[in-house]
Amino acid sequence: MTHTRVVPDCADVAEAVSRGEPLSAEAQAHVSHCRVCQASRDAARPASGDALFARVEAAIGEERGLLARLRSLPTGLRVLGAVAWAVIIVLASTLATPRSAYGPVPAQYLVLAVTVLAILTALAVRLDLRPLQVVPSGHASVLGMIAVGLAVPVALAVLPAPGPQVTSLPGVGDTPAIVGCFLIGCGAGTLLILGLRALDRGAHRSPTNVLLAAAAGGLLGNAALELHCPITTTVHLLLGHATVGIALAAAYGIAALRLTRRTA
Amino acid sequence: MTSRSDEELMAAYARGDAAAFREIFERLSPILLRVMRHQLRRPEDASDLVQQTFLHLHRSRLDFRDGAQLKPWLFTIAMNLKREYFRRASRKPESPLELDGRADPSTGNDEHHRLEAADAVEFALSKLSPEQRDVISLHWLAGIPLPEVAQMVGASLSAVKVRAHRGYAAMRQALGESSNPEVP
Repeated sequence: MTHTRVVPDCADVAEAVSRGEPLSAEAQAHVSHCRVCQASRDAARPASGDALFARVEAAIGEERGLLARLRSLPTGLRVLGAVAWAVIIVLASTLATPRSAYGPVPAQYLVLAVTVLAILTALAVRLDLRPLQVVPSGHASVLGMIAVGLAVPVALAVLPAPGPQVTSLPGVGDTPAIVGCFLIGCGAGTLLILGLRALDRGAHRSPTNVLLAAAAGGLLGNAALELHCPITTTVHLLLGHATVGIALAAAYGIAALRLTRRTA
Repeated sequence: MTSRSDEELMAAYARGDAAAFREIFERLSPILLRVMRHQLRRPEDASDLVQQTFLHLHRSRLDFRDGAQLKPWLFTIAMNLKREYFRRASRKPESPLELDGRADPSTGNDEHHRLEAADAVEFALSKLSPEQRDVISLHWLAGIPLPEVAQMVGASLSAVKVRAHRGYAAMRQALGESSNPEVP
């Protein structure tokens, strides 16, 4: 029995096109001199739009579950939700690890520090959840917000607090106190970052948005620490409080980079 | 029967009318794809960005407000995604090198002329700065008025007019004054 090579005709070409298969060299040679196939190929071109629509539909079909619902909320609600989540985190942190003494530092200073940190957190959250249909803020304003977010806790640590200094907690060594504050701050900040991630529509692929979320987390962590820790020494505040934002930026930056590479 | 406007379709989609999404896609995806293909090196990347744009349209559908115009809204998403694409790939905006039909032996005469014209336009666009190319793409290829283009690229109207004027002049120069009547 001998095998003969079948020369493709119009039907073969149309069949291959309808299946989305690449044309063989023989089929391409046929198309190059066949007006019917050329017309058929031109008519089939809108199919590429159909194929693209099928991809879009499939991607939208995967938008299910709680996270999909959260990121599809109107942006106003997403920002409000993130701010409410931040308030819950601080309240929970304060209830779980209450400040041992409110006396030494004047109440006005405490209120001022927490208010500044809360306002900056809300601004960073708003900027981080900015939707894509809005022209992006200038790079400088985003970088400025990140810098302010990381610098304000350092400023709070370096500037002398009013009132008598509190150097340690009763029964707690300096290093455990620093580590304890660092962990509480990082915990609160991480919870906020997770909340922002859940509400994110894809902006967290950008390094600036990742840093912005980390800065927001650092600010919130410091707000929680203001309501937890009465120590006012510069060394404690620098090592236990101001490093929270920097550590979150480094950790979330690395995690987001790995995640992006894995999904790229 | 009168056809619904883009904005009416989007409002219907936000209320859950899936057929409206298909109509929006059919109306706007060809223009979007055309713009993206003029800005990206690889056609598949252009398709990916169009897909991402419509996915974001879906995610942001409840953000669409009465009085907003859909086309600039959608193209702002696309341009932001395109910026992110270039940033992530650490690439500068470039024009495609894989030009339609250039290596396609099956191309007919009329089509060949059309594709040659498309190649010429691509060549001309490649001569523009990224800022000029954004403005020209949105204005000429997508048919978006300059005031809206200005909002989308985050520049003043006068700055956008200057970019457009210089961009069109550069394109005319690249193509030769009389060789391409398509260029406005």
